[in-house]
Formats: sequence, structure tokens, C-alpha cells
Amino acid sequence: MKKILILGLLGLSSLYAMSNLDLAKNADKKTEGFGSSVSQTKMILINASGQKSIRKMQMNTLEGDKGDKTLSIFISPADIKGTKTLTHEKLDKDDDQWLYLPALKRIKRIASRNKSGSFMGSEFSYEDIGTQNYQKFIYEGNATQIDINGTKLYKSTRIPKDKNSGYTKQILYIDTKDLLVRKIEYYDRKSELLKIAIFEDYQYIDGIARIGKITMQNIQNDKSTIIIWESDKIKVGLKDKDFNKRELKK
Amino acid sequence: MRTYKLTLKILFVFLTSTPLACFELQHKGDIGLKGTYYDHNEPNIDYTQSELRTNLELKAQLQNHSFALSLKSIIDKDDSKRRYTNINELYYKYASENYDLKIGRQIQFWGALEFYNHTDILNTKDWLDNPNDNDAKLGFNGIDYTYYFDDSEISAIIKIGEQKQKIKSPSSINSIYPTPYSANIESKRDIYTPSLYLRYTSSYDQLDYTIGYIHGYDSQRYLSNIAGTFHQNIYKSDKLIAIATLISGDMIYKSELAYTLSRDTQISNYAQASFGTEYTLYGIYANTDLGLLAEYYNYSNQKQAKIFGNIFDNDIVIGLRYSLNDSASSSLLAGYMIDLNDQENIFSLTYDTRYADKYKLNLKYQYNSPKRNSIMKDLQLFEIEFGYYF
Repeated sequence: MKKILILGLLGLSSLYAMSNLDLAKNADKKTEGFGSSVSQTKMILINASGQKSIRKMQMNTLEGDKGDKTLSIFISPADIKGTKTLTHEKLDKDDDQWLYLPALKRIKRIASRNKSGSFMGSEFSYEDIGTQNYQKFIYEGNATQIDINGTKLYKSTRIPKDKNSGYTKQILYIDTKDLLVRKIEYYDRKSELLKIAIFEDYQYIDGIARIGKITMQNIQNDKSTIIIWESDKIKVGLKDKDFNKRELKK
Repeated sequence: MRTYKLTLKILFVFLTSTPLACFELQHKGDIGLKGTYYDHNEPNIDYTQSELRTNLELKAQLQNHSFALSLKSIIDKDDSKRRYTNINELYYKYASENYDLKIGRQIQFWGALEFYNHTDILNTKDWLDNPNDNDAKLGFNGIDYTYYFDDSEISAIIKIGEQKQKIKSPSSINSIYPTPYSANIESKRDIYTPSLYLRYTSSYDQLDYTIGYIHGYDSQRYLSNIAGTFHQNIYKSDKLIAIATLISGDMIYKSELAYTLSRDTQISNYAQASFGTEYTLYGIYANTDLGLLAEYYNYSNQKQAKIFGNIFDNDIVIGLRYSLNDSASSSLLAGYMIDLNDQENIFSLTYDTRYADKYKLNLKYQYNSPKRNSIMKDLQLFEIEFGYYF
């Protein structure tokens, strides 16, 4: 009788256990299906002394099965106004990436393999800014359930597939109710905690979850960066031709 | 003062000549002060140069139509020849679904390398600004029709008129021509005879490439002495160019090739080839990056009647860019160029940073080590530039 009870309890618990891979796929589905989007973002850089610096940009994104396409247009500071980057993401190889320098009227092809570099002097790397498609990571084992301040979360670990990644692993905290990412811990190449990102202010547009604010705190240097989405429109009808090199010169 | 009155007049005409109330207007610009001290032993040559600089860009767009205006204004404190306003861009552009048509004065960039681009030939360099700055250009007048395919584009450009190159006063260290000099161009044909530029650009995987053909006035000019005054002379040529950028892992490889068939019996055909490579080390210390750059330039021609002072004939450039990746986007750029024929060399060090998101500070040191009887002067220069950006 006792054996039957124990086996029954084990069976019940396995029904509620979710693999890290399945969790990642289900979490991705919450933010998929936007087609294309145009967002205005503000990035606040905060140094260790608390001084702030502002960056503003517009991001146009086209969702794709084999990778997204993104056109970023820098609006401020004034000296980089009009600078643009165009990225054609490739899930199975290096992205195609170009940079437009308006003062020189020059389109420059740039290397995209190493994404560990800082994005605009912020605590976000290019890797952090890029899409977080689950296919870019390795998942093993099951997610565990924890409770933080009354909120039930899945704790899940993923390892970047890219050998040039700046991280050895990332630990995600995903809300069990809505499967939205609330927090990520990033571990550097020495496997030490490097940064913590807090995800807030999600909004639902046409049933698709859209992030409103991300705060990235660098634990090792006391600097932080906040990205705020000041406006966000999805299903705006952008097409492939809106992400050609021609768009850089406009 | 006259220069700024002219600038305001140009702005007034631009703003009132189109029904701009319906257009989406964009602007950007900067105003700043630049001061340079030259440490040299040249007789009768100034030791300092200081100037007020202004750049202004305006763009008005309504659906497929746009107008653009770009001005550069320099007021030199001491050199009266160097007080001017240039309209470098003033054009109308129609953007259809598959093509762009641009009519008017414009600036374009053709090339792949970082320090010097011998294929960047559409615009004449602005030597009155700075003969050592390859990015200082004069707008050309022309019509550009570009048709876009999925991954490529083809352009046909007609350039009308060749720009005069004014130079600084003889007392300037950067007055590189013999005097007396006149900016009026000499030519066997009308300088407004159009030149045709054809260009095909495409991408394949990690390769971007451009093939071009030019029939018209050559970008290379020679000097002649007419009644005791030196003039630039232009001549006709046919030119083939090829430009490529290849990304291989973390490395970037670049090349620019050109072959010019001269149509002037006194000028020989010539070939130019440049190669470069670039690599970035990320996070070398804290959050900083180090960019490494190496470029080689070659120019070769047959013996000919005219002598050209092409300084990029067998030269190597090595550059380092140290990016602090701080909130001020500070960076340190070091460059060393050496002519393998005669060991003439230049070293420069530049520091760039931003203050309060609106101001930029640029500090530069340069050391020239010329060969004997070179047009380049033996000197050190110390430069500071501070600007407000809007």
C-alpha cells in the first residue's frame, strides 16, 4: 500500500515538472507572432557614482522563422543622430550586419560574430540586445519552482550555444502564471555572477506580451542601464524590403 | 559676419521655397571651435590656426519626396581666404518602390578601407578645410538614378562640372601647392562636360562587393604654370573599380582596386590597389575594446610627362582604436603611416569624448617625418576641438 502511494505521488509530481527546453519554448511563444514592430526606446546609463546619461533610438523589427531582421536608428545623443545598424539574424551562422555613418554617408559591413562587446557604452551587450530565440541555447534537465516575495517562479538554466558568447550560463526566473521572464542572472566566462536583468512593465498588444522596461545591473562594477520602451507598435506591416541596405541611406 | 549672413539667406530661401508645412522636418548640426598649434622650423609660416566651424543639415520629407540641405561654414581667425560657407548638399530625391532618383548637389562615399579610399572619387576633397582630412569633401552637382533588387543595386550617376579646389593662404603650414595658385581649372574641354559613373553593388553571404565604371574627368589632377600662376588641370579618362569587404569570423578583409585609362596623351594609364584588415578584441580590460587595423596602398604608372604627388603609392598604415565603452563614448585612436619607398612617416594620436550628451571634445597630436624636399612639412601639431551638437 505504501509503495503504491509513493509511486502515485511520484507520478503526480512528474506531471507538474517541466523540462527547461519545454519551458523555454512555451515562454518564447508568449512573445512570438508580432509580425513586425516599430519601437521608440530610451536607454538610461547610470555609472557607479549615480550619474545618468540618456540614449534614444528607434527599433524596427521583422519577425522571421530563420531569424529576425532589425533596423536600429539612433536619435540621441546628437552627435550620433542618424547612425543606423541593420542586422539580418541567422540562427545557424553569423548574422549579417551593417553600420551607417551619416557624417561620412558611408555604409560599412561589420563583423557580428563576437557579441560580447558593450552596446552604446551600456551594461547591455550586443548579445543581450539581440533576439533571445530558444534555439540559441542548450537546455538540460527540468526547471524548478520557487517562491520569491509571494510570486511563484520557474527557475531555469540555459547555456549559450555560441562559443563566442560572453556568458557561461544564464539563470532565468519565469512567472509560472504567465510564463513571462522576470529576471535573468548572467554568469561570465569565469562562471562568476556578472549581471542581473529585471524585466518589468509587460503589456499585451493583440494577445502578444511586449516588454516595457529592462533594468540591467552589473554586479561587478556597480553600473546599471535601464531600457524603457516609450512606444511600441506591432503588426505594422513591415516587409523584407524595409530591411535592405537601401534603408540605411534614407 | 558676411559668411553667416549668407548662411542665413540660404536657410531662408530653403525654408520658404517649398510648402514645408506639409513636410516632416529633420535637422542636425554642430557648432564648435578648433585650435591648432604647429611646432615647425619653416620660415614665414604661421604657428597657429584657429577657427569657428558650423555644420548644418536639414531634411524635409513628404511620402516619396524629400529635399535635403547640408552646409559647412568655417571662419578662420587669421586666414581671410578660409572664411566660407559651402553648400555641400542641396538636392531633391524621389524614392519609388524600386528606385531612387536624386537631383542636385550631393556627397557620396565609395570605398571599403578606413584611412584612405582611392575609389572615393565622386567628390573633390575640400583642401581649404583640411588637405589631410580625406573625409572633408565638396558636394558635386549631378543626377543619381539607383535601381534596387532584392540583394543588390545598380546606379547610373551623371556628374556635371568639376569642383575648384581652393587652398589656404601661403602662410599656412597646410598650403601644399606652389604659389601663386589659382583655383580656376584648366581643361581641354568644358569643365561642365558631364562624367558618367556606373556602379553595381551586391552582397553574397559574408561578402559585400561593388564594381564600377567611370567615363569622364579623372579624379587625379596635375598642375600647370600659366603666365606665372599655377592651375589644376583635369583630363578625360575611363576607369574601372572594384571594392570588396569580406567578413570571416572575427576578421574583416577589405580591398579597393582601380585601373585608369587616360585619354590625355601626356598622362599615362595607372593602377591603384589597396588592402586592409580589421580585428577587434572585446573586453580586453573591464568593458573596453581594442580595434586593430592594417592597410596597404599602392599606386603605379608608366613614365609620363606630368608628375603627380600621389602620396599613397607604396604605403602602410597601422591603427589602433581603444574604446572605453563608457557613457561618454570615449576612445583613443593611434595611427602610424609609412611610405615604404622613402620612409616618410606620420604618427597621430587622437582622443575623443562626449560631455553632458551634447558636447564633444577632440584632442589630437601628430608628428610628421618627411623625406628631403617633400611637400609634407617636418612638424608636430597639437589640436583641440570643442563642439556643441544639436
